[in-house]
Amino acid sequence: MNCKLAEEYIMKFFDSELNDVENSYLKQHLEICERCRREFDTMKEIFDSLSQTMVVEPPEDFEKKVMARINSMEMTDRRIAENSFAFLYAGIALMVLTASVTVYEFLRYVDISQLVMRFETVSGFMSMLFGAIRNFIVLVSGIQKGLYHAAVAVADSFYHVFSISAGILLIVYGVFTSRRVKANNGGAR
Amino acid sequence: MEGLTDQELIELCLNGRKDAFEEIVTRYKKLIFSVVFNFINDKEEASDVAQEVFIRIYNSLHRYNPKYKFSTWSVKIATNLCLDVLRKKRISSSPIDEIAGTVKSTDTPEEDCIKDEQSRMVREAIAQLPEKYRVLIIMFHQNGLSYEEISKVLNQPMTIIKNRLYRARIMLRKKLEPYIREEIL
Repeated sequence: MNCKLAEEYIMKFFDSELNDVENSYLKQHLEICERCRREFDTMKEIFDSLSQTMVVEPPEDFEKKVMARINSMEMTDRRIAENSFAFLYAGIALMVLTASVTVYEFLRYVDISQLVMRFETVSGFMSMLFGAIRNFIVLVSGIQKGLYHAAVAVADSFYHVFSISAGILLIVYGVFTSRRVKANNGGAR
Repeated sequence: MEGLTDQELIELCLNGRKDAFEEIVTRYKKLIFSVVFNFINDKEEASDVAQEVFIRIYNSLHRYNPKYKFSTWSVKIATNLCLDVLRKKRISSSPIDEIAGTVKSTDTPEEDCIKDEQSRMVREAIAQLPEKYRVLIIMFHQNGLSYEEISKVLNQPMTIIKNRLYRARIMLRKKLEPYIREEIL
C-alpha cells in the first residue's frame, strides 16, 4: 500500500464508507508510515471534536415567537383577501367608466342617424358599410393628424373623471373594508 | 398533544389545528437551531433564521411526504434557507471579505457554547474557509447530511461535491496541524 492509496482510504474512512478489508490495509499502513499517521490523527481530532454535540439552546420563548408570526401572517392574508375584492370592484368600475367614456367620444365622430337611414335596403346597407369603412379610414387619419390635440383633450377629461371617481371609490371601500375588518377582529377573539 | 406522532400532528395542522404545530416546533427546535447555528454563528441571527425555517415548514406542510423522516426533510429546508442567507450576505459584502473568509472573529461561536479550546479552534478554522468549502464541512460533518442529500440541495453532481469536500478536509487539516500536534504531544 502506498501513501496515495492511504490518503484515499483516509477520506473514505471519514465518509464512513471503508469496508473491513480496506480498513485493515489502512491500519497496517498507518502503523508503519508516520506521515500518514500524523495526517490521519489530525483529521480524526478535528472531526471528533465537531461531532461532539455543542450545547446550543434556542431561546425560551421560541415557540411563542414562531406561533405569533404564523398568526400575524394569516391575519395579513385575510386582510389582503378582503381588500382584493375592494380593488376588484374598483377596477371593474374604472373599466366600465373608461368604456362608456370611450363609446361616448366615438359616437361623437359617427352620425347615428345616417347609419339608420341607409340600413333600409341591401344596397343601401352595402353603401352604408362602405361609407362606414370610408368614414372609419377618414376618422383614423383624422385622429392621426390631430392625435396630439385629441389625446390631450381626451386625457384631460379622462384624468379628472378618473381621479374623482378613483378618489370616491377608495374612500368608500376604505370605510367599507375597515368596518368589515373591525367586525372580524371582534369575531376572532 | 405530546402523545401524538409527528404525522398525527401534521394532519391536525393541515386540518386547521394550528396549536398542533406548536408541539412540532417544541420537538424540533433544538435540532433546527443547531443546524442553523452551524451556518450562522450569531445566536440572535440564528434564532431569527430558525423561526423563518419553521414558518417555511408550516407553509410547506402539505408537501411533506411521510415516506421520509421529518427530521431529514426539515433539516433540508433549514439548510436551503441558511444557504440563501449566506448568499445574500455574500452579495452585499465587499470582495475583500470573500478573500479573507466571510466570518470575522467577532462572529465566531459564543464562549459559553464551546466545550473546550480545541473545539473553538476547529470552528474558527472552519469559519475562515472559503464559503464553498465551509458549507460542505458544515453540511456533512456537523449537520449529518449524506452526499446524495447535499447533491440535491446544492444541485451539483456528487463527484464534484466529494472532491470538494476532500479538498476542504485537507485545507482544514493543514490549517490546524500546528495546533493539533501540540495537543497530541
